[in-house]
Amino acid sequence: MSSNLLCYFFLFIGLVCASTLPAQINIESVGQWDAEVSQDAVLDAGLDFVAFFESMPDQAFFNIFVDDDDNGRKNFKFRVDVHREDIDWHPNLLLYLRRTGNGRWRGTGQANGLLKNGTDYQLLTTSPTYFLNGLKNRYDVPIQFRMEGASVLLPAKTYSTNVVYTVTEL
Amino acid sequence: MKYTIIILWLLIGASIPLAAQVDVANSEITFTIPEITQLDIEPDNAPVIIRLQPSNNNPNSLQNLSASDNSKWINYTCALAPQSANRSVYIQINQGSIPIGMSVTAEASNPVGGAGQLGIAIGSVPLTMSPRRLITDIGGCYTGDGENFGHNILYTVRLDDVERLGTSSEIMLNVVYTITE
Repeated sequence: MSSNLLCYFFLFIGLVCASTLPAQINIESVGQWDAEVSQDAVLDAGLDFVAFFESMPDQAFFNIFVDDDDNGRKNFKFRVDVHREDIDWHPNLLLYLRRTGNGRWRGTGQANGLLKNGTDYQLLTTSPTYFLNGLKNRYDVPIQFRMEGASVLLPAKTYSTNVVYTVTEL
Repeated sequence: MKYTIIILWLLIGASIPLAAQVDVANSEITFTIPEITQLDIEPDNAPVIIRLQPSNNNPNSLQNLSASDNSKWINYTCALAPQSANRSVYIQINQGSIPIGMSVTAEASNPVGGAGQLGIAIGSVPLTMSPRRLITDIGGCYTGDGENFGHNILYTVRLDDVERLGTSSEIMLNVVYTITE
């Protein structure tokens, strides 16, 4: 009898612990940047390319939310790290990104989240580095890219990489 | 055994909330550098005027008289795909003709300034109506822009056989530079 009681006790404790599991945090990315250098990038014969190339300010977006965000009211903090996963890249190519807005939230009432940092261009490397942190869900956060280091000295071809966003609930 | 299973389950359940929740997304970036070749003449396209004048030592002799000009420079920019052949600069007359008894040559200097695989000067090339290679083996490079960058061009006009020259007192030639494979 007492052993069964103990079993029920552990079962109860386990269920309580399981119920404290946080909702799964999600990040979605929308958009990509397919840039092609034009002839105009050489301002005059004898010169190299212009110093940098920039995408549109809202070239890509990301959304961060939890599964049960309670109509945008659920409090959760997160950080986003970014890095490159190269497919065919050249070490001279320096890719930067920044966010150009705060995005928005989806819901009713007063449940605004916020974002901190990430508004200055940040160099992407192959190691994850801190990009920004925030509170509550955020949708349609606009991202702009910038490329430096392109040169006529590099082989003329298409270079490709993936920008990886990793969101971690804090 | 029953206790062990339950305790394990309890430990696992308790540990999950401590593990950070993580998710990942990505954006694909492609950046294309096309093949580019650009060439121009510096400091401008104004005519080069070369006058043949007898020397003071022998004012009556026109034989083997020559004169030169090196006021022009060629600048170029070249981006090449890995499998592409290197480029060359050709020169040819596309308007006017050289009288019999006279020759006109062009010679590119070694490159000055710039970066990358700059071209190799062929040497003195007679100007004809057919393209003649002036600079060869140009890879991905840029010469720099303006005078004193790239290849200085030396034009030389020579009277080889004044007897056959006839009465021409002035000739005008238009030459074209082409950068190609």
